[in-house]
Amino acid sequence: MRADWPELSDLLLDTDPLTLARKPVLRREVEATLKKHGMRAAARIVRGIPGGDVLDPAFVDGILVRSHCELQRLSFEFRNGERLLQLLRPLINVLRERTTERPIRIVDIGCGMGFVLRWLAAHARLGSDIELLGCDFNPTLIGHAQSLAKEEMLACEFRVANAFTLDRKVHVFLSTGVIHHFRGDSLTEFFKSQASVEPYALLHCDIKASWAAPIGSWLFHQARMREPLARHDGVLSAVRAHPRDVLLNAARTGGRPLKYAFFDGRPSLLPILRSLNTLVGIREEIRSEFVNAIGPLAPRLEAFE
Amino acid sequence: MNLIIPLCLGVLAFIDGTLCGFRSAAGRNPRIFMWHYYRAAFGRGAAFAAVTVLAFSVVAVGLVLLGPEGTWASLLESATVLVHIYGAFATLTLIALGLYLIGSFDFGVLASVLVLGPFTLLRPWTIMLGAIYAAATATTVIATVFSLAAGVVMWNFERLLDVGSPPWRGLEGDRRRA
Ligand SMILES: C[S@@+](CC[C@H](N)C(=O)[O-])C[C@H]1O[C@@H](n2cnc3c(N)ncnc32)[C@H](O)[C@@H]1O
Repeated sequence: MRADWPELSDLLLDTDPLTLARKPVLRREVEATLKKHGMRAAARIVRGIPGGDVLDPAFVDGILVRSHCELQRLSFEFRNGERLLQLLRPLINVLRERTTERPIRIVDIGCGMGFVLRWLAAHARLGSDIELLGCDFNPTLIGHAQSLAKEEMLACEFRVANAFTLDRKVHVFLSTGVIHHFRGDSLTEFFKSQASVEPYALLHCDIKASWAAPIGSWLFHQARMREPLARHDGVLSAVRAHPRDVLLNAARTGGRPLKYAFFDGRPSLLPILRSLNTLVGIREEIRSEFVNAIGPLAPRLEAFE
Repeated sequence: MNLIIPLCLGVLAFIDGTLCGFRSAAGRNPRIFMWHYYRAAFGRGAAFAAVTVLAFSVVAVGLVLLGPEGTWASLLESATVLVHIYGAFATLTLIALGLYLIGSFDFGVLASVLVLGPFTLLRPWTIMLGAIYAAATATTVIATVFSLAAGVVMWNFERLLDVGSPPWRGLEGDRRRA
């Protein structure tokens, strides 16, 4: 596997970011891309998808939904809700002091079936002045996120939407396992789009690039997942994880005027001990308050630049 | 009659089956509040393991009663080998599980990364190698076959639990409460 290989899930879903219309995915185009990269395992998965020239969208959705169920299980085991909350709660406390705008809106970019926001709504008791909004291009995933939230009476909202073109003020953008989907110019664009909305902060949690990441990811995807696409993309995600400098560079190029730093981003001898890290972007005016607010976690946060 | 060893082996198989019940259910239900769902899953695994242990116990009693002299002693020797190997594996797993459940955030994740994840992959191999070792060192053919049969059944515990279980729960087409 190589970092320039595309993730299969990204090839199987094609959404127009402006109209949000789902475009048909042509089998021969997907196969050509896979062939170009020599992605044989992915090609086998695609061969198993019914449909003629166009891949059957309902079948693709089934694969994606099952993969997200399994991904949720992994997110739960790795305590991704708690992981984000460690930084989110102090951030919210700072925002409550520094802005009178209500509600304070937190948007999860590429929320999938919305695990993180549903977990926060269920366990974090963030308060009624906080609005949790998850956005994703995939209507099937969002449909499940909405019905799951409703069924468990969780105070969070989900929308089929481009997270960067919402018609409402966004105070905090967050994401889990999403940034490695963007590369090159689109990575810079990812930060530019967020900065243009003028949020107070960004929290992007993803796999930390290291020699151990693909091995650990392979192990956990073999142990915890069944769906071939989930296994394939899970390991590829770790191979595609951005090295810290690439990510910081893109953020600082596209995402000004926010300042950026990594939480848990330092290279360590035993990378398995901290296999995920969070890129934090913050407005200069609340930077030092935020650092104070995270208290004992501050040593794990690098200097903002 | 030494019943401690067979009892230990039964308990180990029971624990393993219970945890298989959990694993077979995990990743299929996207809800947040999962207590009821996982309780049922543990129960399913436990019931399955209990029936299996019972079946093996009945066969063992039958073999001892009807088989040649020395059958009990040879079964006991093989069971002792299995208890040592599976006991060590289970002890480490349960310590890690305890750490995951009651430890701090970092310890929990560490328990997962270092033990719970890798041990899920090692489990079938440990079961099979344990069974093969016990079979190879057995003093009677009956104990050899019995050890291998136990290994094969345990190896397939999770797969058997998967059979007939709805693949994805809590989604369209399944509106039952977890
Ligand atoms: C890996 S998946 C999401 C994983 C999810 N956050 C989780 O932890 O389970 C990435 C998702 O990002 C979505 N996506 C990418 N760009 C987006 C954007 N600008 N707005 C909303 N969703 C986006 C895609 O539709 C895709 O479903």
